[in-house]
Amino acid sequence: MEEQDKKNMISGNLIRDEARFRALFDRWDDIVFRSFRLGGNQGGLLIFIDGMVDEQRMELQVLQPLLSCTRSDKDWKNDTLAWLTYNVLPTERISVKMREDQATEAILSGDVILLADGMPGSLMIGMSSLKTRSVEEPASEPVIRGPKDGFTESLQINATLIRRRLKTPRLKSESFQVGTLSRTKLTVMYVEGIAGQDLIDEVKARIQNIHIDIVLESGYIEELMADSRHSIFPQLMPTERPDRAVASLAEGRVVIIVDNTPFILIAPTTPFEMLQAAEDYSQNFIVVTANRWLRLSLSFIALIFPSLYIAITTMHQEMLPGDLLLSIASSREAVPFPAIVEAFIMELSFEGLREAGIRLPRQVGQAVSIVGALVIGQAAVQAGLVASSLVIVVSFTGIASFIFPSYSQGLPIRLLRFPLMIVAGTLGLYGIFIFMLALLIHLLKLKSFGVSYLSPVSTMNIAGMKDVLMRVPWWNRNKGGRMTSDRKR
Amino acid sequence: MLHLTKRILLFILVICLLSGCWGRTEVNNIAIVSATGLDLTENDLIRVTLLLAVPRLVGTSSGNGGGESKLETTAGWVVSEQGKTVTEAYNKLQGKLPRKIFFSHNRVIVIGEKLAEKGTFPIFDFFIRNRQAQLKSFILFTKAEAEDVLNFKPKFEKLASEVMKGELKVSMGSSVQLGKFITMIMDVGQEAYAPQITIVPSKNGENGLDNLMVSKGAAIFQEDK
Repeated sequence: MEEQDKKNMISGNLIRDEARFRALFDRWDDIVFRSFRLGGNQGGLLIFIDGMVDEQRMELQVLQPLLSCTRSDKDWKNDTLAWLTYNVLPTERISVKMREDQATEAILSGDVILLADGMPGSLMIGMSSLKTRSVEEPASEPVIRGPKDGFTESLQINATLIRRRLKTPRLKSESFQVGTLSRTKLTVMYVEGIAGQDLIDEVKARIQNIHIDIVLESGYIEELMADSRHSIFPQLMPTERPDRAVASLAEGRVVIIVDNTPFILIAPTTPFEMLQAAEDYSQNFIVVTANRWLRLSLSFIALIFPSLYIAITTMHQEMLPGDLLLSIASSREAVPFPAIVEAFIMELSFEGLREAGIRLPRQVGQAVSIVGALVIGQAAVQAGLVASSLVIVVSFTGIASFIFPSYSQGLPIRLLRFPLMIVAGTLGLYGIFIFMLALLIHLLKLKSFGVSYLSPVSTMNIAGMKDVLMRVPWWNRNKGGRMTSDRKR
Repeated sequence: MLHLTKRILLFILVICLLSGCWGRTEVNNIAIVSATGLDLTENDLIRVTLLLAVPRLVGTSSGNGGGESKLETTAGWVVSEQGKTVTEAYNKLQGKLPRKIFFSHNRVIVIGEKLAEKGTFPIFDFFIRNRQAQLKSFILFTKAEAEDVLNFKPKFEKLASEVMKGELKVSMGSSVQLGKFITMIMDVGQEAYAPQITIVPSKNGENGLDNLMVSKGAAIFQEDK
């Protein structure tokens, strides 16, 4: 071990160090080794990755001072490191890296490593300038009224977007690294004093428990950090909006920012949370209350409407009023398939269309959506393949399934529709009840970081209920973090 | 534990596919009964007449709707059969039809006078025991034949039963539902009654079948006659 460590240290011998680094970065096309002379007679070497450093700044702020500096023997004696840091280099970020692996890591992050002959250790100069997307409207969560900046792929920019909204030193940020191969940087942010300490500890413990080789998106670690890995319901809420993240932080939640992805995770979360849109707080509270009811009811409809249709029209026709029954019967006269098969065909084609629509290039998108509407709607009905009443059911369900402000909450609902349809087709209303009961039991047992998934409703937390059914106006809310009060441990 | 879950899921899946558990009847495999008529024939048999709603002509069907706009068309189809009891006639009737008789939307029961005089208990027995029959369908009696009443082709509505139900709801006379009627018969000390229905001309002084049916007078019962 000690041998290893000793080998790992960057000795002052420039020739040896350079040889080691060159061996390490063998067959790297874009690594640059820039050697120079310090103060006339001392050898120096800059190592950096072309394309990851800010070339302009490097030439101005690193190379130029280095090449033009003079040094008298009185300055700093032999402590080159200190001299360079305090006297020569005008860069904002400088730190000392004594070991090779630290230096390598710095190079891989886009910074510049400076080696000098006779100087043990190296200087890491923060010079990375990775090209990122500019801050634009979040694609997955647009709003009508509200800020339109969304997170980007740069962790730094994301953290800044949060900081500018919560200007308090109590907003802490702690960084970790996940992924043995990707070494992705991860930052956990929370507001000290509002977020519960055991929540913070739990989040950090789970992060440290992640063993995975690459982390490209926050979704990768979402699964590994969830309380129940087998549930299809999301237990962390991803969002692209800074205002949403900041609101959660103020409530006592913890935010996890992952480098290279604009989606940050909020822990813990409940489905009621996911039914709230970011602009709910910007609009009039009565309107927003009505909107929330709409969303709640539509989310139910998205789940059970096709199954209800199947169950009632095939097994429980006596439940329909006479005229409705006759209308449905008349629209089904020419259709060869039984109701379940029809419903399946329609739902599957709708899902297929939706999935395909995500990947369409923009120009083709318009044409395909028209074709899609034609195919699914008119032509199928007129060809006698599906009943027009079913088309209405399917399209309404489709619209209702887009109601979720948070995309990842819509996915389990959309998926659960299908087994529910099967159960409805075989066991009728009774089957629907059983399925919903099983679902309810599952949801009641589910926890998100210790908070029961259906709280505040399931825990009868009256204070927390203010946001579920309605949006209580500002003058009526009590302050403080609700989340901290209904966490069970 | 996981193994158990998988087994349970498989079990559920198999159950869903069991053909014995299916109570499924498609909407277009049922014959929806809109009104029922009961008569006494010459040879002392009970004739059961059913007014079936033909869905094709009722709703606005896709594609080829909007063709017929004549006032004389009806969306109902009248079928009848005879038998010693209501059940026997009913079964014979089911044999004549390609679809399963679906009774739950039956709105009106029309009973001929002669049959009423003979005794109504055997008739009601059928309706009470049938799973699909509703005790909230209206009861009407008629001096003419029930079959003729059901054969009536209305102008305003599509089905004769709709006309009857509409008029009963407006309640110019009385309106009695089957459940209430039976309770009245059963009650000691209370005599049952029900409205009576006839076909009348829409304008005074004209003959022939026409486009108005009115509940005229009432039929009063003692015991069950």
